[in-house]
Amino acid sequence: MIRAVVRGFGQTLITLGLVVLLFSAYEVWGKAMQVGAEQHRLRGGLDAAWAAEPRRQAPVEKLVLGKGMAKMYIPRLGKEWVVVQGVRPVDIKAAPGHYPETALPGQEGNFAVAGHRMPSVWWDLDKMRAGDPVVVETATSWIVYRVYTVQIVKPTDVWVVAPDPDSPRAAAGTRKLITLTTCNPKWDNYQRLIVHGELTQEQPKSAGRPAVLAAMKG
Amino acid sequence: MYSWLWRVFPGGVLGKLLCSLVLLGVVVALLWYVVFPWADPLLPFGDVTVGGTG
Repeated sequence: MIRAVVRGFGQTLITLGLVVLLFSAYEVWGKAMQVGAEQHRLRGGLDAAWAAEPRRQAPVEKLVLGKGMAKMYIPRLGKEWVVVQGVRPVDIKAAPGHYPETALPGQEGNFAVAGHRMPSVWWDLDKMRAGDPVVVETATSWIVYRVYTVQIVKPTDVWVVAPDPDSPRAAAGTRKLITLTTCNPKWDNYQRLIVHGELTQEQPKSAGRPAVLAAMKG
Repeated sequence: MYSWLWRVFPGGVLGKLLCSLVLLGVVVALLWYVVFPWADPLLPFGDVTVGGTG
């Protein structure tokens, strides 16, 4: 009797361990599959929207929460994504999301984007270094930002998405910035990892992909 | 639990083995497509914004 109980207890623990192991696999590969499928779908929608109106960037009031609004390329991570409008959990499930109240890419102010710290999104964002390019593609332009700060802040530090995070009291900055936010440390949520960049180069689509993307597949 | 399952599965070793594999597949699929997607938002991995609750 005791032997049976002990054996049953042991089997239950082994089973639970296997379930947790499977859950870790889901967090990495299951999520990666979801992100891949969703990014494919978002890219289709964004390409169609751009093809329908190639001459101007959609104004902020035309952007729909959860729909693609730009593309982002980070050569350091070797990855690219469609960025969606909005940072609600449902918006950013499988894509980085644009804080709706912040500037649009290429505008004066701060183009702030939140993304998950998962292997298919911003897992390695801590590897970003000053000078690394972050490239944003809109309907009309290629915009190259260069990273100037990587820092870790508290979740309440909303000044990082202010129009000018380096002087957050200024109403509207004249600098053109980008800010990426994700959770830190990996698999936890008590800090935020923040990457700030400043616009260094902007060129129309007709001028082709910027040279910094040469190393990435087209 | 596992020895009990092995006893109640029908057939010889081959039949029991087949039943085990099918049951394993069902359990894994249920976890992967139903339980894990439900459990994931309850974990703190999703908090990536500043200020908001997101």
